Amino acid sequence: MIQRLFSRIHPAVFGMNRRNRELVMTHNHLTAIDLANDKIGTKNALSRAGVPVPASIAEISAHRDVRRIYSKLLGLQHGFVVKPARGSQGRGVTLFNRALPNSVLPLHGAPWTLEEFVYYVARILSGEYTVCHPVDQVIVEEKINPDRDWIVPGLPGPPDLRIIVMQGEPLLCMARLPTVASEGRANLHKGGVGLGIDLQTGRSTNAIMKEKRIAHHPDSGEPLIGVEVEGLADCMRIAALCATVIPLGYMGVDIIRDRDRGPVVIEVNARPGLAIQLANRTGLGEAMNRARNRKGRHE
Amino acid sequence: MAVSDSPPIRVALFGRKEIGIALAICALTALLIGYKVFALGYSMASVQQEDGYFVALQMDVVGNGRSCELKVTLPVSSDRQVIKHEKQVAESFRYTISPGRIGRWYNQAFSGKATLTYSCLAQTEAKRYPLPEGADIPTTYSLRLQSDLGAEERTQSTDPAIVAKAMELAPPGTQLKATLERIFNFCQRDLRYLEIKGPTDAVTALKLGEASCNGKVRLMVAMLRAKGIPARMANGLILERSRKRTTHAWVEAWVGDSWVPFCPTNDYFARIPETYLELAKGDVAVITRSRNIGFDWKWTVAHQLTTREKAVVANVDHPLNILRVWTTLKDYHVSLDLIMVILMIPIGATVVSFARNVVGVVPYGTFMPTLVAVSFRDTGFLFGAIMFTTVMVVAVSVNYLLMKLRLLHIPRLTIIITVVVLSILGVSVVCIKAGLTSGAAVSLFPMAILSLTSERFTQTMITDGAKEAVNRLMITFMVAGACFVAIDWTALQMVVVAFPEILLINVAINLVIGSWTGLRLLELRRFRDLPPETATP
Repeated sequence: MIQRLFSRIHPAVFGMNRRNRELVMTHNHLTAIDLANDKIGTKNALSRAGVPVPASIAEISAHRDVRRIYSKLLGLQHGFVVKPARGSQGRGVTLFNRALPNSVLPLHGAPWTLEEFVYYVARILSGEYTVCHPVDQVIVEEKINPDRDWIVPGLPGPPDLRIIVMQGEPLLCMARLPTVASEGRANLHKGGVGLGIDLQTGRSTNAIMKEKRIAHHPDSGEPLIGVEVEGLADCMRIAALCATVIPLGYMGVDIIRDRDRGPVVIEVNARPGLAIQLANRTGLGEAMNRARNRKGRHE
Repeated sequence: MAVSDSPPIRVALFGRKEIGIALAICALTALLIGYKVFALGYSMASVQQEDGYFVALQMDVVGNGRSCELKVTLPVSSDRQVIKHEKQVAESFRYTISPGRIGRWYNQAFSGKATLTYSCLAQTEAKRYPLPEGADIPTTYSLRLQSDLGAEERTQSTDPAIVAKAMELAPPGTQLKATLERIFNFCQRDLRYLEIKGPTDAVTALKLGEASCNGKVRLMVAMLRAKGIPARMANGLILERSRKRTTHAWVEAWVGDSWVPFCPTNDYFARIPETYLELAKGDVAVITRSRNIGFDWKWTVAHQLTTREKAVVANVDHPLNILRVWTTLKDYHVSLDLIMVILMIPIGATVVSFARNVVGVVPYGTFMPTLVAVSFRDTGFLFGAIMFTTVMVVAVSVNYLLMKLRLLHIPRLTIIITVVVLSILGVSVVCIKAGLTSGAAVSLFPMAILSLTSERFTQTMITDGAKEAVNRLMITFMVAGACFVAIDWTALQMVVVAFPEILLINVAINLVIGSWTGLRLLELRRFRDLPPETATP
């Protein structure tokens, strides 16, 4: 009885408390977390180690630089992305198609005036999208050419792959698929689909949307179970490489597939969320157990 | 090695080290409290909260240049009422208190307008008086009671009708207690209550068969006197939150060797409720004044809770007392109430810590619910809720407009703070006008925190939708409510005020919460479909 109650409130599933105490606080040093939170520092470090990352166009750290950098953007043909260097959960990130002399064309929605663009950059700089930091910097990077059909065809936006790396070993993997409800973003709490991927077979085993199990994509009706993730081994290798560059014992690596360059790391996360357990129907504790057993077999 | 052979995941729900430290802290706290209780003689009874009423009389006077005099019979401390913190405003009048506790405002030549006030803190107690069984009505009394036996202008105890009625109710030979009961019952039950302005004398009350409180009282006094029991009228106020002009009257009868109160209007037999404040004895007016002036008055009564400071420091003079928190702070004129608020903040914070780490809800701002709850302590929950909602609506609308203006972050927040302050002021004024006087207590409302919350609300609204933003606001409000219940819990306040070292237990509790790695309540639901620990053998 007590045993059952105990396993109910403390199963192999990790809650926030246990993740923070046993993973983040135990394995992630504050300086490493700080590095992971700073997209500029992370990107420089990753790119030096040979991890593919989106090409940087500019970094803005003062309001007066905005207009000077804008001239750089005018010439770009393939679009660009503006993000806060210390943002989280995709807040404050905007994709643009083109910069024109008097307006900026975002990927979605009506053209912005130049003033609107400058105000937006200023808001990022003054720390509005940043957690626990009074000021921020802005990264402008090349918009990659994402492979929308990487996981399943007919998605309303590009999918990405989240790999949890535990002490250098890929532990759990989830593909995140955008939906119409998530406005084309691969964001689970906006209504995106999470696909649990078995790292051994490279195939999806389970799918969730809004934390409920589903079998087909809500928009296209494409089956979601048993889907093979092309190039998963490559992605796992890249994720493991990230862990050698950013010294986090427990981290999440987010990967998008570029049509030309292949897998590209867009972000590393020092406190990756817990929904990946729901997507895989596997608790982090159990995944760690399995990994330990695999290691045991190899030795 | 097969998967099923792997050792089960065995993790403690709490950190062992943390539990150890927490237990040690609890033991230390118990030790400190034990020391205070057993060595220094602290006791819980000595730190009860002081319950009282703020009573104020406001008199508006218009004079025409002639002499002007106002007299008020002031309340006196007795075995069941304590009067303290007396204050008065005399303006151009000379104010004196006679030995008989008559407050007198006097001006030789007064013209123009003046507002004269008297106020005090009254602490009253309900009291029951035992009546002697089997005792007869005494036949002789000491000289000083003679005046309470004879007839008065409006208390005609020798009137044949009254004497006849008294004899009918209690024939000669009836014992003292029975006499009191019968006469009281007649005045309380058989004499109907009628709201009449102005005085009614005893004979009229008997003739009409109905009377207001003073008529009932005069008739009862007259009949008791007719039966040879010393009796007199008592005048006073009923202490309930109000503004009024009327006073209340009840009866006092001499039983055994003391005065015993009876209220035939509200059915208090040989007892007096907590809410009665005595102002005057005998058939006298509470307020008397010169005839030639313009005059208006009102009584204001408000319930007040204050901590009995003396009781808290009462045991602190012991030479071994190293925990003289109160004397030390009091010598520096720090308000005890302020200290209490500060002491309760960590407890409110624990409520937040529980809500977040054990329940799993995420209110706006870290300790924002605690601070909102502290402000509710001043304003009351209802008014606080109105204030909170109004301020949020205003601040969020303003923030939304300012975003359109493309104002930068900090200046925008500053504008919101300003608007928040102004709207708090506005809500207060509206509430006072509407008669909700507690609205005046806005001093502690956490304006900066509310402004930040409105900012987070606006952002959540933009990024996650209005539904999520409102949801989180409700959660914030609910957690604030829970904090309020905790910090407004009088018994807990008293314990913490008497033994501030209790806060060490707060540390222990958070050591436990902080090392708890089990699923939060909401996570239990979130992960309910996942199979439990499959690696168990």
